[in-house]
Amino acid sequence: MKCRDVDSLLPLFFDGELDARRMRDVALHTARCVECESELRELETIQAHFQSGVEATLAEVDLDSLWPAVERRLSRQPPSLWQRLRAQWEGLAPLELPVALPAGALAAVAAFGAWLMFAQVEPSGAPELDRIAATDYANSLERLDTVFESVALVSDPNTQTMLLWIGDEALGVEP
Amino acid sequence: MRRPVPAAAIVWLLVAFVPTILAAEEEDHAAAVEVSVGAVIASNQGNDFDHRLTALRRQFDNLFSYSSYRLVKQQSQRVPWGGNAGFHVPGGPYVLVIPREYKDERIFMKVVVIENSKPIVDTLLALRHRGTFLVGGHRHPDGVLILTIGASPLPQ
Repeated sequence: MKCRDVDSLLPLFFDGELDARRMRDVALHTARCVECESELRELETIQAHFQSGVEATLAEVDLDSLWPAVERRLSRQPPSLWQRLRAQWEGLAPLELPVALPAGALAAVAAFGAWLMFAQVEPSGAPELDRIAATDYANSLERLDTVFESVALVSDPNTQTMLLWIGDEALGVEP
Repeated sequence: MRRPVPAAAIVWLLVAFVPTILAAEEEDHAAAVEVSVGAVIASNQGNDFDHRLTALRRQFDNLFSYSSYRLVKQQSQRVPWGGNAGFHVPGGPYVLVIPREYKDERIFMKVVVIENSKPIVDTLLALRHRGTFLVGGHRHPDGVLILTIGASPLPQ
């Protein structure tokens, strides 16, 4: 990959919008090319300035009046379902209890059964993309010590794969 | 006058739900982990794709541009948390995988690649359950070595 190819891809690389293979190629190139690395650093500097600008703007927003406004809205909320059920339970006549108790137990069993059925819907071999989106616990490299000067790390969330590319063999993989 | 809730109903509910909750807790505290390590030689000589690597084809296609992939060795070991799984690549380095803990649906492990009695890669990583860690780029007489590393917690 040449400098002019990398130059057009750097903004996408910085935003993590390239596919895994191009991410790897750009990472490897910038690890070796001083000019492209400085371009990347420049992008990082611009991003840092932008972020500090946004933070400064946020700091000017008056948050002190936010919570009182939320409290006022909360006080106008209608009673919750639980509160309504509790009120009905407290108003229940003693003779109705023998009917209500088994009915409650049956409802609990039905809810448990429905939960079991729902849990079995997900096939065991299915991709966990939904769960990834929900938990956002991705593969990560916590620490790295290596004798190699050239190292690239590429993560492919689609296949839950993390690649650590070491050494100087990378140029040999160009198509 | 209101009747008290029958004790039998409470006991029944406890009997129905407690084993389920306990079983869910046990899954997070697996006593051992199965570590799988594979050594793949990638090259641009020929167009052979080893059928034993079918499960990794998508990853390889996404990440590499080699025309040939050959699995030279694969090994799975069951080790306790904190134990180590050693793997010797024929004609190549020695790989040591030390799974440390299972937390937030990820397996934290240490991976050390040793060559000529010296660690050339020493890393600590967190890998999702069913995730794959690849270490590639190391020279091998027949091409470029790609190590495939995965781990799965085993139920007690």
